[in-house]
Amino acid sequence: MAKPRMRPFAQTAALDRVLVFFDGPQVVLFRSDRGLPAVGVSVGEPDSSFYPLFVTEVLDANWKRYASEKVDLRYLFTAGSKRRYFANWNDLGENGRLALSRADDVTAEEEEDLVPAAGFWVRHHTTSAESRSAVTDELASFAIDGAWDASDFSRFYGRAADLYAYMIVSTKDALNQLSGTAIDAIQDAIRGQSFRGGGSYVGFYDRIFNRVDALSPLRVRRISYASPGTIDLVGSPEALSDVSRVVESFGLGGEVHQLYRKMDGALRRLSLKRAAPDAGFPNSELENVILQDALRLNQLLGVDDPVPMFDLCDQNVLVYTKVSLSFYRRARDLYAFHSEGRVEAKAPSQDISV
Amino acid sequence: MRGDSVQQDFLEDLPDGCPPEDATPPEAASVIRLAKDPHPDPAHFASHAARGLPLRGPMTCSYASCSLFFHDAGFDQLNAMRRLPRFKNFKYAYILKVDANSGLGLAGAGKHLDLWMFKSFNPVSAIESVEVMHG
Repeated sequence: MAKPRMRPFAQTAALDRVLVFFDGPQVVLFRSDRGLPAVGVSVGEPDSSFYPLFVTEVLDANWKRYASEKVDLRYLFTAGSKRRYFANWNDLGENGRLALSRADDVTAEEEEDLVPAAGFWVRHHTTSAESRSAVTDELASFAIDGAWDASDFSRFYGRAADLYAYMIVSTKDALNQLSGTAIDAIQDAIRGQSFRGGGSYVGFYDRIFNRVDALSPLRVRRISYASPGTIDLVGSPEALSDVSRVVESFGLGGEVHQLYRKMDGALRRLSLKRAAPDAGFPNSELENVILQDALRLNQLLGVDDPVPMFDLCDQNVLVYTKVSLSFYRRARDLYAFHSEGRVEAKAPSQDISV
Repeated sequence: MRGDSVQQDFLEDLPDGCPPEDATPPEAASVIRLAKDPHPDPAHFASHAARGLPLRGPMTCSYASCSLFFHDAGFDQLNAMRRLPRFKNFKYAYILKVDANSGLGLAGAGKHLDLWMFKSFNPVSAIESVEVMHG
């Protein structure tokens, strides 16, 4: 027997829960009669008869991405099914259902008044429990093998934490969440270390890690000290995923290693490795070449947008180059655990115990 | 624990069973009310219910509360709210002090506070500053 076809549009939706409440429901999750999640946002000024909502049906996969902060609320309205509707919250019946009317004729101009602007994330929900239960931290589990002593565990966690912090502060969204004081502290750490040689970045990473820890903490959930054993880290799904990407990118080899050698060699030849931040390059052309190399190095290592970190470095090319080189070295150290066969990443899972 | 505060009258007429049992006197804190108007007025603190709008679905008591954010939520939360269609023109943050004499409160996620204000509390007088939000 043929599988029944899904109707092309929904006609009603059942209330699942209110996600954002501010003097009334502002963002609401429904389940449409086509069985899909449907998200509604309050639009326009309500009155006693009409409390308008603009509703979009969402693919399950996209809802999960939203729940884990991979995408923002705007994305749910602008990508995916494009099945969008108007509804009147005041029509919500005792059975928790309301009627949907198709919003096919919305113009691009009207849409801007109906769709959330970029930058509203699941963490901004105001209702607790259920709505935030989807915001679970991710459990990154690593199978370990071979001989490990205490310093190996410490080094592994230290390098993972350094990369985790670097990736978090490399996103504009994270920077928006940090206070001015925290950003000042990170910039002080960058300035404070930048005139020293390559091995002196421990303090810098400690300080940025301390700052991002309040935002998206990284924790050791469990260490099973055996051969083979396990190390479980719990933290922001996005940042942990980024760290995995850094390690994978490093393993691809080729251009990233050539760039590192080129940049490191250039600073050495120019006697800039221990130079103060205000030490200039011989000419602007060379400075620009080095900057492009540093930006490219970051991108090759999985940093989607290298600009926020460049901005944190006050757009000082020498400082940014040194920071980028230190980032490469930390990726190299973490990759070494993998290439030596002592660590293997397992499939990530959600940690609901946090 | 509500303590003596249950004896106080509330500023608005509340639905039966409100505030909810788990609402408590807030500890002294700086909170923020989002607003469209740079000149605060008691009407800017009126709840959904006080404006005569119907109550639908769950959260009946919240409809009759004043929605606030704790100041330490920072402007990340406030700016995020302004990305919602209804709040694009809410450019002002009234920053005020609340404490156990202000009403009964219930803190939610996102540093949100439902406050059922006492009749003796004047939110406009409690305002310490009005800030214009950017971004």
